[in-house]
Parts: sequence; C-alpha cells; structure tokens
Amino acid sequence: MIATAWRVVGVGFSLLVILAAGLLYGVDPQQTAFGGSFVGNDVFITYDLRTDDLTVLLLAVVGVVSACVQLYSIGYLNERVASYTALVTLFTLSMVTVVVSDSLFLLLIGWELMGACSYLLIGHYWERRDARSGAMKAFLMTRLGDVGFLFGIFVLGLGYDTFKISELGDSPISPGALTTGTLLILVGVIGKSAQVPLQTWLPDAMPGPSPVSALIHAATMVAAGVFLIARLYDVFLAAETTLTVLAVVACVTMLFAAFCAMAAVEVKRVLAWSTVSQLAIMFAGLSLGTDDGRHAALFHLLTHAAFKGLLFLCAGVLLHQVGSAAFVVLRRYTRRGALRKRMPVTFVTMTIGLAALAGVPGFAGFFSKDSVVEAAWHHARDGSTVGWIVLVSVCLTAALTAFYCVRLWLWVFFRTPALAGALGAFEDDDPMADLEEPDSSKLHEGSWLMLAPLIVLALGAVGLGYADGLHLNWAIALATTVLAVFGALPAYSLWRRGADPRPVVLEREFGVDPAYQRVLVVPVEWLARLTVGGDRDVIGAYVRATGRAGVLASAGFRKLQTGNVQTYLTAAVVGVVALAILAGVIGS
Amino acid sequence: MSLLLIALLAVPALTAAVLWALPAGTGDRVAAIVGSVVSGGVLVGSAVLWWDLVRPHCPCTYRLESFLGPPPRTLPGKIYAYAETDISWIPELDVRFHLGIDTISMPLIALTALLVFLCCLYSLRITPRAGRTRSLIALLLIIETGVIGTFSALDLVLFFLFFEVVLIPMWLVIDIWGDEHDRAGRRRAATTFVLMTVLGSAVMLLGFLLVHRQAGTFDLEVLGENPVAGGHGIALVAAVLIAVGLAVKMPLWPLHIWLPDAHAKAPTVGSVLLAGVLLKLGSYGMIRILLPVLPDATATIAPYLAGFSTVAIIAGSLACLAQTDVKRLIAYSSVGHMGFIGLGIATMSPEGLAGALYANIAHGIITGLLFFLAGGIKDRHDTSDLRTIGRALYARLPRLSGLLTFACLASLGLPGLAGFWGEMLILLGAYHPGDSLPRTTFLVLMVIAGLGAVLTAAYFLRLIRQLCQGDPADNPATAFAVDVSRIELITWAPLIVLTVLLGLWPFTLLDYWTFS
Repeated sequence: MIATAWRVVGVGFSLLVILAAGLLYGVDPQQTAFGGSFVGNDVFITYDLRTDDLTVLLLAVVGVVSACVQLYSIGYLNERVASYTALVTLFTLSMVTVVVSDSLFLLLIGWELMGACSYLLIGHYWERRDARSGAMKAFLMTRLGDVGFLFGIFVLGLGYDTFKISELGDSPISPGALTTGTLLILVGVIGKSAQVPLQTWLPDAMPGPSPVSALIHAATMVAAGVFLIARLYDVFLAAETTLTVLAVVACVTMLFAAFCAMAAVEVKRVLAWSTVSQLAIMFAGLSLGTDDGRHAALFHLLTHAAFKGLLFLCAGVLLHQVGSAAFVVLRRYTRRGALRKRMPVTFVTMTIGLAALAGVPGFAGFFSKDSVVEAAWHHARDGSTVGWIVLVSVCLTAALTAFYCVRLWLWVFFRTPALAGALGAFEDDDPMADLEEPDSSKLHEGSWLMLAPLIVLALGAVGLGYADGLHLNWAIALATTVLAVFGALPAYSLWRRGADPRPVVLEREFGVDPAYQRVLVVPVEWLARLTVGGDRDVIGAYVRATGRAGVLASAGFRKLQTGNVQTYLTAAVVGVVALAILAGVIGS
Repeated sequence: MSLLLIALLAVPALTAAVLWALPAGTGDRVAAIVGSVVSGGVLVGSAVLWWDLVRPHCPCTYRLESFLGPPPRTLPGKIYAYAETDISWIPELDVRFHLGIDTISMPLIALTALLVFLCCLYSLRITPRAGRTRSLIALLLIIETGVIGTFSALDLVLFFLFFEVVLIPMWLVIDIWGDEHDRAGRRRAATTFVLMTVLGSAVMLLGFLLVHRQAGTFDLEVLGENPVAGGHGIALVAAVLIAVGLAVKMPLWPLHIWLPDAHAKAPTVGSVLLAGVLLKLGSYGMIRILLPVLPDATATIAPYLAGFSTVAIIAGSLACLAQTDVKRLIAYSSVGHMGFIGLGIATMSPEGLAGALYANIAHGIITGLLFFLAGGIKDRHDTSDLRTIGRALYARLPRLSGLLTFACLASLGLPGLAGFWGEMLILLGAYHPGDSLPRTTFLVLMVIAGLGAVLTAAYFLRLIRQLCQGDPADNPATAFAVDVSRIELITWAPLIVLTVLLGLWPFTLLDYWTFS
C-alpha cells in the first residue's frame, strides 16, 4: 500500500519534472529569490532559483531518465520497495535542486543530498558485504571532494562578494583567489564525477540495484559535476590554470578508465568504467574553454544519458533473469544463442546502446563524440597545446571504447567459435553438453514495464544524435570511425580465438585502491586506536592519578587525627610560638 | 521585572519540591504526569517569552539602536537584555539578582524547555530499571531551573550559582539511575563528572573575581558597555581561567575525559539532557562572558582555543572510529561537535559566532535524538555494546534503525539537515576570522576541521555498517524486540521535525544573530 503510494509519487514527480522542462522551454532566463539572511556584513545566504537553457536541458534529461527508472523499478524490485522508491524520488529531487538553484548553498544542499541518497541506494542490498563497503566508499570519497567544494564556495563567494551563481563574475576578483576557488570547486567535481584520483568509488558502487546505477550514471550524481562546470563556465573561463588542470585530469581519466574497462569481467563494472571515461570526455570538452567545447560536452552529456541509462537497464534485465552479470556466468547461456533468442528486446536495445557508446556511425554517441573531437581540433588548430592533448586522448579513447564495447557484446551474447571444437561439452550435438548447460528454459524477457523504458531510451540513443541538427565534419567522422574499427578488430579476433587476455595491472585497476587502503585507511585506523589509548592511558591516567593523590593525601592527614589531646595541645602551642616569632621578624 | 521569566525559573524548582514532599506512596506515573504537565507549561511559557522578545515593540527598547543609523560595531555576545529583573541581592559582595534574555539565550532556553519536556514525556512509559521515577522527575526539573537560570543570568556570581545548581542533580541521576550492570563504573563516571566540573567552575569563579577586581562589577550589562581592556596581565589571567573553567564543561580536548563515561553510564534521559543542554552551558558562557567582557584577552587566547578545538574535532572523530559501544560513540561524537563550536567562537567573527550558536541548537536536537535512539536500542538489547547487539538491525528493527540512520546523517552535517549550517558557518568564520587574529593559522585549522568533517562521516557510516547493516541470517531476530513504540514516536517526532526544519530553513534563527 505504502509502496504503491510511493511508486505513484515517484512516477508522478518524474513526469512533473518533464512537464516543467516543457513549460520552461524557450522561456527567457530569469531568477527568483526567496528566504535570505545576513550573517555578518559580508555573507548573505539566500535560496535563489533560476531557469535558462542549461536548466531546461538537464531537467528534461533528469525527468526522462528518472521516469524510465521509476517505471522499470516497478518490475525490477520486489522487496523494500517503499524506502527504495522514496529514496529514488528524493535523489531525483536533489538533482532537480542542483539544476534549478542559483544559490551556491542551495546547490550544495542538493549536491550532498545526492551523495546521501546514493549512499543509501547503493547499500540497498545491505546483506551483501560488497554493497556495504561500496556504499560507504562512495559517500566518503564524494564527501572528501565536497569539503573542497565547500572551501571553493567560500573563496569564490567572498571573493566575488556574492553567493548567487548568476552574479559570480560580475565584480573583480584577485587572480589568486579565482584560481584557488575554481581549483577547490574542481576537487568537488572530481569527487562527484569520479575522476582521477577519486575514481575508485564508482565501479565499487555497482552492487546497488541496476536502475539506481542507471540513474546515477545517466542523469544524476556524476552528471552533476559536468553540469556544475557548465553552470560556472564564465568563472572557469577566467581561470586558465584550472582549465589546464581539468584537461589533464580529464585526459588521464578517460584513458585510465577505458583501460580498466577493457579488463573488467562483469557487465556492470565495464559500464561503470566506461561512464568514468565518457564523463572525462565531457570534461575534456569543457576544458577547451571555448563555446564549441561547452556545447559539445553538453551534447555528449545528453546522448550519454540516453545510451548509458539504456545499457544499465539492459544489464539489469540480464541480472534479473540470469542472476548475475559476470561474463563467466552469462556466457554459459550463449549456447545456440539462448540469451539472444529468449530476450530479443534486451538484446536489440543493448546492441543499440553499445553501438552508441562505441561510436558506430549513425548512432547518437557517434555524433556527440565527434563534436567533442571537432571542438578540440578547432582549438588545437588555433595553436593550443591543451587542444592537441585533448584531441589525441579522445581519439585514443574512441578506439579503446570500441574495443571494450565489442568485447562485451561478443562475450555476453555469442558463443565463441574457438570453444566449439575444443571441448566436447561445448559441441552443439554432444549429449553431455546438457549436463554442463545451465537451464535456460526459465529465461524470458522482462515484463513490459521493464521493456518500455528500454525502448524509449533506445530511441533516444539513436535519435538524439540528430537533435542538434545534422552537421558532420566528414574528415573527423572518417577518422573516428577508422579508429573505432581499429579498436573493434582486435576484440573480434581475440573473441574468435576464445582468448580474453587481461593484463594483471589492468585487472587490478592499476593498484590504486589497495594503495589508498595502505596510505589512508590503515593509518587512520591506527590513529584511532592510538587516540583511544591516549585517552585511556595518558589523559585518563592524569585524572586517576589526581584522584589517587587525593585519597593518599587524605589518608596521610588522617594519621594526624590521633585523638590525643596532648598532641593537639603541643601542636597548638608550637604553632602560636611560631606565628609570634614570624610576626616579630616580619614586623621588625 | 519579568514575571514570566521568573516563573520559568521558579515553577520547575517548586514542582520538584512538591514532588519530594508528596507521600512516598504516590505513584511514579503521577509524578511523570505532573512533570510532563509542568515542563510542558515551561515550554509554552518559553515560547510565549520568545514571541514577546521578537515581536515589534513600540517603545523600542533595544531595537531603537538599529533604527537610528548604522548599528554600532558591537561586540558579539553583548547583551541587549529584555525581560529584565534587576534587584540588589547581596550588596556586601556587590552581587545582584539580575536576569534577562536576548536573542542569543532565548533559543537555548527554548531548547532546554523542549528537551526536559520530552524527557518527562518519555518517562511516562519508559523509565530506568532502578525505579524511583518521582525523584528522577524532580531532579530533571531542578536541572531545568539551573540551566534556564544559567542562560538568563546577567550577573557573574548568579551565573556561577546556577551553573553549580545543575551539577548535583546530574551526579545523582548518573549515580542512581545509571547503567544497571555496572555499579562501580557508573559511580566512577558520576564522580569524575562532578569533580572535574566543580574544579572547572572553581577556576571559573577565580576568573570572575579577577574580572570584578579589574572592572568593579559583576554585572554583565555594565561589563558589556565597559569591557575589560588589555590583552595582558590580569585580564589575560582572568580570560584563561574562565576559558579553562568553561572548557571543562563544554568539553574541549584534553579536558573531555569525564564526558564519554558520564554519557555512556547515564540513563537515557540523563544522556539526552547532558548532551543536549548541559554541554551548551560551556559554549554559551564563552559567547556571553569571554567575548564581550574580555575582548582583548580573548583575542590573545583565541588561537590556542581554536587549536585545542581543532584537536578536539580530530581526536573526537578518531576516538569514535575505535569505539565498540554505541552510547560511548555518540558521546565522543559530542567532543568533535563541541570542538567545532569552540572553533567557531575562537574565530571571533560574525560568521563563526552565528555558526557556533546554530551548531549549539542543532547539536542539542540531533544528539538528543541520537541518545534517545541509542537508549531505545540499549533498552531492547539490555546492552549498548555493538558486538553483543549484533548486526542487521535494519532487518530486526527497521523503523528504529531507519531513524538512527537519519540521525547519523544529520549529525555528520549533511546539508539540508540541521547539522550543516553550524558547521558550514564555523568553517566560513575560520576562513576569515576576526581582524585581530592570525589568518594563516585559522586557514590551516579550517582545512584540518574540514578533514575532521570527513572523519565524522566515516565513523557514523561505520556505526551504521556495524549496527544496522549486515546479514540477517547471522543475527536472527529476537522475539521480544518491538519496533518504535508510540511514546517513542511522540517524543522523537519533534526532534526529527526540527532537524529537517532547521536544515531547510535556517534563516529564522540566523536572523537573530546578525552580529556586525
């Protein structure tokens, strides 16, 4: 009952967001303020709202994706529905707050509420150890970034003498404060969008329910980082150092994450790393510091929301039906294309999603990625080193992306021909095969509630590429296509040979996580024990010693109370004499 | 002369006397009802007083100044007393019975009234196993008188007296109704508490005497007009003595050692009042006495105060990470939070002060709620040891553990809930501290305190992970455990609502504290 009510509220709210986006479309940018209080003479805290093109774009993305996720969840989830749906709704609401806010503080509220919601949702299956630790890690890493973000708000807000986003940049600010402030904001963005060096939480957040992953990766949370920089673009444009840092971070991240995705052995983990990599492409577009770059980044954000949401929902169907999204499990179901034939809609839509991700010509991801490449090329042609770095990295990433997309697609849906002749159990007509074979008769397509969002998002993953008006730079299109083919061919040939080589360094994801464990977590635990010990054995010891000294002293004084009148009298006489002498000495 | 304020002080104390005078056969239930009614009345009275304080007055008393041109650059914490009572009391010692409130003390008085009311309400159904509820209620009411008196005293000696009134009842509450499994432990905790606090207030009294020697008066209003100038010599000694005395109460590292034991061993209502209200006496005293009376000397000691506060934030958080007892953990978290408040006061900036005041209120509400929840968990499992309670509380007590998660998120300073604004403003205050303070020092402290906020998140998430989450199969449900009962819901609901309201709409309170 409560669950149903929450579901209605959740879907209704998403539809409301879409409606708001529709109503605000084409309206002139405007701001409204409510609330407000001075703290001291310099700080004025208000809640301001604003609407402009960026707001409308993000509202539409958030609304559509969250509506899809809410509908899909009705079919996906059967237990703890009420709390889950309420949190997803709150999650959406937080993102909407971030999008419409014109006050840095209001933005921060939405920003961190998202972190809390993601913590609770990633930990939805709290019986599982990996879900517990993944949730905790996600919250702590993003919060670490958020502290930087908060300090950035201080520096920029007091530097510009306003905490209203639309007024930032109006007044002069010292270059030092500008650079410091934007760099600190960037720390928050890096934490939220899981860029290097705070990237490890996102892949570890995968034990959460798949629809939540779709929401986090497509429309909320990680997209908030991209949104924030686009929102504060005027401020960032003035801070050249910050943009360079952003470019370096983005380029390192996109390659790093793409390499990690190439060695991941679970569908959701591959997708998670690919999100990190694709976000980095958006940041790279933003770091160019040109209008084209910003436009391309937002375009990529839009298409990415569609195809990444789609891919996670597809992975959710696989997980729902098969019970696992690991390659080794899924490929047991590939005999005679069972997975494909039993779940045709999932197969087709997932293929579309992967095609869009890989940048197959005609699909949405192809156009948006090309627009980033084109913006980088224009910038590089103007003699910018940053432009060149971005150009090269995005092109390399395009090839790597094609590799892991093809690898994922082939290994999940197709039986490798290499194994067909190798072992009897894999032969199509071997009677023994059925013993090894998992029972695929129970596999079936999800309910229409789960499939409808897939189809909607698949349409988006194809159609959104043309949303920006069709303009194509043939040379760049050709170049990226060739690169994608270069990436896809090795994946295909490896699959044909039944080989899936995973270098150890990639499989361990460059050992970043264990290093953090050693450098941060272990010392903190050690310090914690030290502190408790210090309280008990040092400070506590002083207190106990004081108490014991008091007891001892009283025991000593008690010895004086003998009850012997002569002793008292003698002592009194001695005292009087001593006092008299002392008075005489001092008086003279 | 304000009868309402006097009534707020007198009624609880008189009721306590009546409760003790009642024949011993009177049921505990009756006592709890009387306590609830009276403390409810005090709550209503304080609400009326608050409304009276902030409504527009026509013969403008204190607001007049703000209408006439730009307000003078006031010393934060200086009193613009309302509802004053000022009669000579002990003329030989120059002590006056001087009471009054302003917008700094009023929210704290209301918080006290609310928490005492909720504790009495809670005692209607849930009482410590030691019984003797009648005396417990009477002591709670005495504590209420003492705390409200401290918050409204405008004379240093009167402040000291009310400050002391609170101690003995609290000592008894911990000693008699404390942890029933650990008789020696609760006695030790109570004694440590009372001895350290008495030592602190003795030191503080010495400081007051020095102030009197310098300024010739104990009256806070007069002292606010003519503060003791000079940052050296006797003024400095006085400031150090007062600061140390109040720091014991607050408590600041390394004087916090009484706190974890006292909180952990106290009964639920005792912990709630101890954390929610009593700790605020220290921070309130710093804002009310140190800053306006000894501004220069406070500026001299402010960096040290800030340093100790920052150490408290980090040390408190680290200690929390290694706790295995849920009540002890929440107690240590208070050390960290009070460290934030100390840092805010030490910045001597309007933002830091407003933040400290806001954090005071927020900490009272959130930690009060946390101790209520911890008490609920302890009552259900007969222990507060995490290892004995087991894990997967989400499966066994879904509502209770859901509320615990909410309270933990609020306490770690999640934006949108009450804990955030105080912490944020304190950090902002540290970003640009008062003019006479070394900025670089405070910047470093700000960064460390910010990392402390991450550590705070870490230990609360660890608590949730160890207590609420986990495999239900390993920790089967106990048959007797009931989820949140009705009386618990009624007592906790106001705190929950306030946590959300103060988090979403801070402006009402912040408007009172626009120091310039």
